[in-house]
Amino acid sequence: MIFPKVLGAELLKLRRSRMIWLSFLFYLFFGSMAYFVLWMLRNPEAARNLGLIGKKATFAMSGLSPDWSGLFTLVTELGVAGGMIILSIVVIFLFGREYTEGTAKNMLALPIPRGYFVAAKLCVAALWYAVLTAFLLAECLLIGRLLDLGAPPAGLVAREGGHILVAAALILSLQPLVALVTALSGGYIAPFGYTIATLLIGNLMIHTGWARWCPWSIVALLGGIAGSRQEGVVLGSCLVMAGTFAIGVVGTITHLSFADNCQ
Amino acid sequence: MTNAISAHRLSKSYGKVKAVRNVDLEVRRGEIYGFLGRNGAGKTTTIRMLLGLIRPSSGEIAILGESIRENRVAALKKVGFLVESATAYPNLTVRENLEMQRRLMEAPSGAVERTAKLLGLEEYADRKSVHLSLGNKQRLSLARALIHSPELLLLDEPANGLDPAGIVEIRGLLKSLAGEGITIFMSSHILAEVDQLADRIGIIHEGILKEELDRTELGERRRLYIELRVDRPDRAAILLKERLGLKDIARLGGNGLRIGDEKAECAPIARELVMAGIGLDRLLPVEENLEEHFMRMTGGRG
Repeated sequence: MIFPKVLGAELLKLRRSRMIWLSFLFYLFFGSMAYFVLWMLRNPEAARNLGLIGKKATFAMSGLSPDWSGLFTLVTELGVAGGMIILSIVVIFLFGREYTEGTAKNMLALPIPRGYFVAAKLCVAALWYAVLTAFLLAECLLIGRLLDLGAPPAGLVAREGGHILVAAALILSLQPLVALVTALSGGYIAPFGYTIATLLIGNLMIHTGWARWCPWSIVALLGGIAGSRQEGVVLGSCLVMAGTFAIGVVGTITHLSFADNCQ
Repeated sequence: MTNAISAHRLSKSYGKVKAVRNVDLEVRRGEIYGFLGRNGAGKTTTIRMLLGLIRPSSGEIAILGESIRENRVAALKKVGFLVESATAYPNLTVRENLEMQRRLMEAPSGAVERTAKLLGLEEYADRKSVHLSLGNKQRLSLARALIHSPELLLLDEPANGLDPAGIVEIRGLLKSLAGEGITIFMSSHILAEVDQLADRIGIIHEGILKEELDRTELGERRRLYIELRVDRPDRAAILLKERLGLKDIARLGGNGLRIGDEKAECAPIARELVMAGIGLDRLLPVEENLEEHFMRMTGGRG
């Protein structure tokens, strides 16, 4: 079986990359943000005395409770919003580096079905994101301890952890399209532009009645960024996400298998 | 036994631009084939088509008896390659780059050490490839191409970035590989290298394979010139045109002349010049080298 070897090669390339540490730094930042906000919610007087909080901030945070539930809500929202960007950067890096470092031609001329490289890179992205998500959950539990929130209710951890995992799976299903844009453009700029454009589209669609049909809005709906969770999400939304994933995977494999590589 | 490379009526167009036109290539097993052409002549496009990186607009390619279109994976199993510039994963060490290639090509475990030694990369084995010189990157690319003991090597500019000693070393390596029965298909700008190495040479120009010759044919087709150095070259040129009816006389630097007429002979030229009182320093027949032959075939000065 050659696929495990292709996967091993991708993991080796990843292990030696600085990108992996950068992504952890981002997630550390998300955790710090969550800690900071929860600390302000639990210590509003101290925050006001330090000039960290004003009327506006009080209003913005009014939807959050200063307990485990509020912390998980905050972490999920940060994880979804940040994860959409970070995972796209990860995928752009995994595919784009082959073009910017001039190694795509070496990879594609190997006597290995090209779909294996696409599958291996997406597996690596999924694994990387799973580790980041686990890191975020661990951060959440650590923040709760640091803020003396007491023992986390088991039911809440399971439910909110489940939400985070569902959101992570949905964010993952958007990534093959990012890979396709990267392979089509052969670099970093176009997929970055695509990622920003889809975030904007996703945000705009949330304000319309079409959010449940727009893949970039569905993640926000389920992640709770756009109001209460699962609001407006229907079975069709899941089919849209599955279709988005399939189009991305098939498109990337087809492009790498049949398009000219003139790098 | 099938040829190492068989390409029939191979063409590639990009819109209206025809990069390669109806190229037929037959590379026999065990030979070194030099593929020559100017920049943009179609060399790299052809090599990319042979490796399945570019799909031909028309034509068929078989590598070691397997069709690239129908079974790319099987066709390239025993092929080592170097396409254009030498590249490697910059954050991986030489050893890691080779180890990764070894696993992907399913080569035996000792292959990394063997190829690193063969290409003189042992002392750089633990250095990240981003810190290698261009010449050592080229060696790394060659080592990667050789790691699975291929039957066919497709090399695009293998001497790129190598210093003169490195070029001699790689020439020796390619010769010894050919001696072991490995077929080598190589393009190069260093024509002297190809001249010394290749059993057969193909010259591609504007996408058309203009000429394909083996060593003997190349010797036969090379033009003979007479070169001379005189004290009054302009006067000598006029004299030889008038008295001997020579037409192809070109000025060279340092009072030199080159006569390309097929009927030209040394003795009458010397006699006419001496009788006209023109000082003659040097007079000798010369055979054009591959570079001059190449330039003549591709429309340059020759």
